[in-house]
Amino acid sequence: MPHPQSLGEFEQLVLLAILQLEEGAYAADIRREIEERADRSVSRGALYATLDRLEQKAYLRWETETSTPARGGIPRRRFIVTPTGIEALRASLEAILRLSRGLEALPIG
Amino acid sequence: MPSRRPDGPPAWAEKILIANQRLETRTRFIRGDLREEYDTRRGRWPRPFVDLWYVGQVLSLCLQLPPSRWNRSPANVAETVLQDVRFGARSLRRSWVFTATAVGTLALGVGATTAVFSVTDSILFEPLAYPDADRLAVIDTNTGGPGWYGASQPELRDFRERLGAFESLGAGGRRRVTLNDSTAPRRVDVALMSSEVLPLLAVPPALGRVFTAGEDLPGGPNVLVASHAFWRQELGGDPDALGSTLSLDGAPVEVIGVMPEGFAFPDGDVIGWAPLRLDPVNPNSRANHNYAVIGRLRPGVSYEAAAAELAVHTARVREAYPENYEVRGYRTRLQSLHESTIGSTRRPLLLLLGGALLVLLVACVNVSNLLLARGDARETELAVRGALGAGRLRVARQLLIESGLVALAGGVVGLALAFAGIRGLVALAPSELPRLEGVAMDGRAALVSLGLVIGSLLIIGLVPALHGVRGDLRAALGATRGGSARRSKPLRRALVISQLSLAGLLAIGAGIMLRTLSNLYDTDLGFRPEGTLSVTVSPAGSRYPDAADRNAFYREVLTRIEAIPGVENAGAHLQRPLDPQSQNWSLATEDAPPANISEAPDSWAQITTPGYFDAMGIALLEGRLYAEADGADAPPVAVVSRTMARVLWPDEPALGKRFRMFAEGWPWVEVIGVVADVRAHGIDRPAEPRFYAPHAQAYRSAYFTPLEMHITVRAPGDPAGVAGPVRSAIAAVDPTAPVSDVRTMERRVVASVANRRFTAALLQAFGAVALVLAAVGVYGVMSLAVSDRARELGLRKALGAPDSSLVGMVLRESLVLAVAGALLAVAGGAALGRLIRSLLFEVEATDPLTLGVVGLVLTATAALAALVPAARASRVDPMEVLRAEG
Repeated sequence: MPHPQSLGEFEQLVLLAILQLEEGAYAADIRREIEERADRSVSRGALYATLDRLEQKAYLRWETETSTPARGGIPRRRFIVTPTGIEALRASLEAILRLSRGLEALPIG
Repeated sequence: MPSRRPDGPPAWAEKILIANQRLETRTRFIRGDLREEYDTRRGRWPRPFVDLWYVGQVLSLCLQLPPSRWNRSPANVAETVLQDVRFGARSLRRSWVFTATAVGTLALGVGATTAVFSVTDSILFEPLAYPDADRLAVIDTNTGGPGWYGASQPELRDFRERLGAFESLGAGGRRRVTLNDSTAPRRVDVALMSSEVLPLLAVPPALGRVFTAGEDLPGGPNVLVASHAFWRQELGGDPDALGSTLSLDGAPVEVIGVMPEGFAFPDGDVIGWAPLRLDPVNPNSRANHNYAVIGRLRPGVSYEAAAAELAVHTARVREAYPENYEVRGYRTRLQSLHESTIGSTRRPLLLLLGGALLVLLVACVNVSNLLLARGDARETELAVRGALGAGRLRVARQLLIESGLVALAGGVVGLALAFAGIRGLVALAPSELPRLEGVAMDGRAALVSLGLVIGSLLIIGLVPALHGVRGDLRAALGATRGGSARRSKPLRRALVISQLSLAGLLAIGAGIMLRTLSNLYDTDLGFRPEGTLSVTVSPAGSRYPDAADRNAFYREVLTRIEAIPGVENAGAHLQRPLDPQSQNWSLATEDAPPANISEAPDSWAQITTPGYFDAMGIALLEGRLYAEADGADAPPVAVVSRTMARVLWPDEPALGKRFRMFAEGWPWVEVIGVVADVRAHGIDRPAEPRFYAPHAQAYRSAYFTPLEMHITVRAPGDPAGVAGPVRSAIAAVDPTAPVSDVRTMERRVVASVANRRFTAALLQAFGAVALVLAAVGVYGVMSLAVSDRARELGLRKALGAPDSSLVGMVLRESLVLAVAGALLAVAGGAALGRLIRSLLFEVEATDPLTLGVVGLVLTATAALAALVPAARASRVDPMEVLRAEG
């Protein structure tokens, strides 16, 4: 097993959001994406910590983009999910899917 | 807001962010992200709101980002440390039994150490309360015989003339006098000083003046500089008391000054200071070593330099007076006043400090062990935290912070214990301990206890912290219940062994001190203290000017005392065994007359009434005791001790021999009896030559007829009970004669070893505490061993092992710990014994009895502590264990 660590739920959300944003995955956009699509508030600290952790696990990497005047001259990062990250995400989502098979009629409420 | 750029967020908030996350290049991006959002919001909100939002974001980022991931700027670390503290406090509160045990254990150690340190520090290390006290020095001499004593008047004169190291030199002594005031006459101590002493101590009087050089001469005025306590209690604390007159020994004495509060030279028992009155024209003999010498060194002169000068001087004086020193020798010693005040109390106090430190060490080891056990129990929690991204350092820090909280709480409670402990120690301490009045908790003691807390934190915290960071998730989570990853087992065993050995060491210390005490009590004193009461009578010299008056007074008093029901007999005597002794005189024997005083043998003089021997229970070995018939006009006779007989007449019987004072004009005294040796100088000191002269003849044969005498009353039924009748009997003869120091001889014997009893009592207490702590340690380790091996025990039981063999297994294991601890303790005990040899009496640190008992006690402690876990081992249910395994 190359990557024994499993993905946490928030890590899954972050990776999914980056994938959804395709070429426009900047930190602020990732946050907005999760807040809008997953309908939950995201703390800035938690997001940065998670991005950092995912980067250390080599599930994502970033590219530095030269700045626009709007950022006060400071460069920004564009996040990209690595193939390893996609594999880990797939594995973890498949596990959820496998486990939820047959439970589609789960009563709500 | 101090500064803000025209279009950006508040500069100070950005600075916080930068400072907080300076070390991370990634921070730049975060700052950029925030700035971008800031600009977006600026378009929609009023600026103050946006600024507020920005500040909120910065602060929340600072709080949220873990430092191990991001950086370690001070603000960030402080915040996460605070988190850890909060978390630690919560978790300690949850397991309050553990917390209370750990805090209590540590408090005991810190409290004991701080209390003993306070006492030790105040007595041993605090500088004396005199200006430039490090220039004050004391000179002692020795011209034969054991120990050090003061100088004679000619020797003092030599010092003054020849020693350039001293700016000023003075002499002192003390005298017990009768104070006649409105109440009954009382005996009080007055320090007698040459006029140099008070000025060289450099403490000015609080009121009035001190006496001058002129007032110090024979025939000078009768003046007294009162102590502050005496002035307050006896003179009403009234400044007008200056110039008033007291009656001391029947003579009027004018109070000319009052020293400030706390001035206590040579100790706090004197009521004041009076002129010593040495006669410079007719100095008394070079052989009378009556005067304590104190001096102040010139500025810049070291003790070493002064001692070197004194050594050269001493050699010259020895050459110059061969008739005095040739045979007996002349040695001198220079000590700082501080050293001389502390004297022989240094060793026992340091020993007690060491003992208290050992208790603290045992306590630390115990808490360490408790924390380790807790760490084991929390292994899963720690491993999970590690897996969730807490770095090893973070986990270690968490554990360290928890230890820190325990240490802090232990320190605070320990400080409170120390306050109480200091009072207890001062109350228990033998009164001969110097500087006891100055003992208090001070800043230094508080600092030391802080140091102890930090030190104990290092000990108790490091072991579990280092251990905790080796967390391994899979091992921790994957282990089955029975064989969980109890990695710290060998470490915990080592800790318990060290605890047992430290406790054993303390027990050995306590044991040999107890043996010392018991040897002291078992020593043949040469007299029988049981059943006797001893009092001191001090008639006024003016009422009994002649030897005949004094004889008559004591004859009358003793007759009345012997008439008291319950009293068998009574005797009066000049000196009392176990008190400080005086009157060591040079003698001449008829057989071998000495050429000079240096060749003369010496012996301690005791002057008594005939009944003394029976009252004190001193056995007659040869010849006869003196009787009333050996009166003032009868031929002079004496009784000598066995040692005196052996030393003065080694080859012949002493009976019938004659000796006299080594001075012109004194008659020959015939030895009529030999009595057993009396350990007059202390139970642990060998007997020295001693002779007994009848009170009635003393004016002819032994220089003088004592006025103040002790009376020993043998009343076997109830010696303390005859105190009242004895007082009345004395008052019936002379109501103005003060009776003081009324105590049974047995209590005096006990009091004479008070220092050692104090040491022994504290060591016992320390040893007991350490043993209990060690027992807790053994209990913990064995409990853990039993639950660790529940599966094995269950299997054995299922296979038919009887309960007794399971119990035996557990007990055996704890005995191994005990034996290891005992062996280490014995090894340490040998070293300890060398350190405290001077405190011991007829026992060695390798005393087999003590070592055996300590070994047994350690074994029994370990066995007792293992009993409960052992019983649990025998109750293991095999089915339950095996089921849990499946």
